[in-house]
Amino acid sequence: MNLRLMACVATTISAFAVSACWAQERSPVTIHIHSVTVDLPPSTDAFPPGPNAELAGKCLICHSAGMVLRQPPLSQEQWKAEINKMRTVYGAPLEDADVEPLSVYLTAIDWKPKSQ
Amino acid sequence: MGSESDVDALSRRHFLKAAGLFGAMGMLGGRAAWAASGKGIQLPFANGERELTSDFPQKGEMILLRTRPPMLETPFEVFDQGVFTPNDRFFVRWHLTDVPTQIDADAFRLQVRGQVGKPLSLSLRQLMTEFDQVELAAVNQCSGNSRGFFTPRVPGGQWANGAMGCARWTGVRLKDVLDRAGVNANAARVRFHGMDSGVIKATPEYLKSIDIDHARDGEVMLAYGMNGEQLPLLNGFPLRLVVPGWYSTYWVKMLDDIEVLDKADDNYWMAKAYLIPDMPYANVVPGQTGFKSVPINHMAPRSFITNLRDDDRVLVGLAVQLRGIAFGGDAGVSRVMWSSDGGKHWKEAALEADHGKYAFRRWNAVFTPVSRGETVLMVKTINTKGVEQPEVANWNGGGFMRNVVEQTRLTVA
Repeated sequence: MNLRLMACVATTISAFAVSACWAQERSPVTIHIHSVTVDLPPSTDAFPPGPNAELAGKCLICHSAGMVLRQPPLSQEQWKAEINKMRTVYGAPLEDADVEPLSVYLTAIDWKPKSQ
Repeated sequence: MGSESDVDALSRRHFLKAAGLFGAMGMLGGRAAWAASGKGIQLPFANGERELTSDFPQKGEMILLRTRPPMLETPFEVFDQGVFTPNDRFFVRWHLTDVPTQIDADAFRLQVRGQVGKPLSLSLRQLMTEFDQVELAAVNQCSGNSRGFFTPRVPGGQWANGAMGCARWTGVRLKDVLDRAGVNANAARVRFHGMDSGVIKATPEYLKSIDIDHARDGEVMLAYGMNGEQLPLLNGFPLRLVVPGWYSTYWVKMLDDIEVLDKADDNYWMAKAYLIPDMPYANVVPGQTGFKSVPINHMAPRSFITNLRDDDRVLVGLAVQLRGIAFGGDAGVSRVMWSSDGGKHWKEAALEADHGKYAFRRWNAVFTPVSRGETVLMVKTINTKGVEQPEVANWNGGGFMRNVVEQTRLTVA
């Protein structure tokens, strides 16, 4: 737990139940609210070395490598579709010419059944 | 007799001793497929190796799917421990990279704007003191919960069954807040936006919307409490939308902006993402095209055995308690049934305390294995609308809405 600054509370706000009836249960619960500051851990996942691995580095602008490394075995066409979604929807700074080599790289590092 | 029965006798004595120690009917070891070894766990599908992490703030041990932005799965054994999922074990799923890590509770304001008579800017204190406080127990489940089990596999977050949880949500009715603002007669949709954002300008803001009538049904909530405490930051502190019976894609976290629209919402997260085939169980054949797609909406019923896993061993002739959870999706649980012969015969399970139609419902039964060998236990629920879980798994390209009747393979020794 790397929660810090929990003590740095400006105020404590509490809610209390008021009247009226509704479908939901009216609640007498008191929720204590305090400001929060947290640290999120850095990723320890990294893309493995290989041809065109530097292109995969651009994926890290928006997300850590783990999401990619934990995909099921996907075909190169499926990887191309994922890359193009990242380009067209999320604005990943990848050129047309990057799609082929990056998809080759991702297909190559994609999970394969381990022989041992 | 031969050595085999001696082994059996030994096993039985060992079993009885273990059962005595734990004070209940029970089972032997096993769990190879799920066994946590050190800081890792193997989910039961290809590329299912996962790290167990306790490094995330306000979170206990979770299954790491992605560090940034965080995606954390609840280890399945948590669901055996009670009907409510503890806040520090509740699953986490963020879409956009820039998740605020510092929230000042006093400075926070919720904007209510758009097709309203009087735009609002509400502090947490106002929300908590100027509106009725209500509480609702409800399941929050990711649209793609269990995606890792899809066959053939589909890309996306590769969850096992732990992208769900049940909590008591405390907050105010969205209806009351909208009434305060005064919704215009031409209102069509209500759209929600949180404090998270992408790091590339082109990345679409995370926006979700529901129909105005749904927004005003008196059940949709703005929650500042989760199981009696403020929300963990990663579950949406200080405020999140609660849409009972609907998938959690709608339960916008760190909610600070509500916009009433006078037309359909064509933003990416409604028009392009989180779409399902408009078919029963959102089910299509891989490669199928030409079907209509619609935004994902209400949940489907599901049920699970929580105290036994694949490869567990039980003893012939000895009663084993079965227990688990069920939920009806957008309705209550009417019945839970279980089978020990692969679905040929079904028996009624006993339902435990009812925490409301949107909550997990715990159930139990007693299973006495009658013959040695592999036994497939199955469990299914029927909700109060008469909707039953399918015995064949659905499939769609998004990996959404899995709710097949679950199977647990045991060895009877």
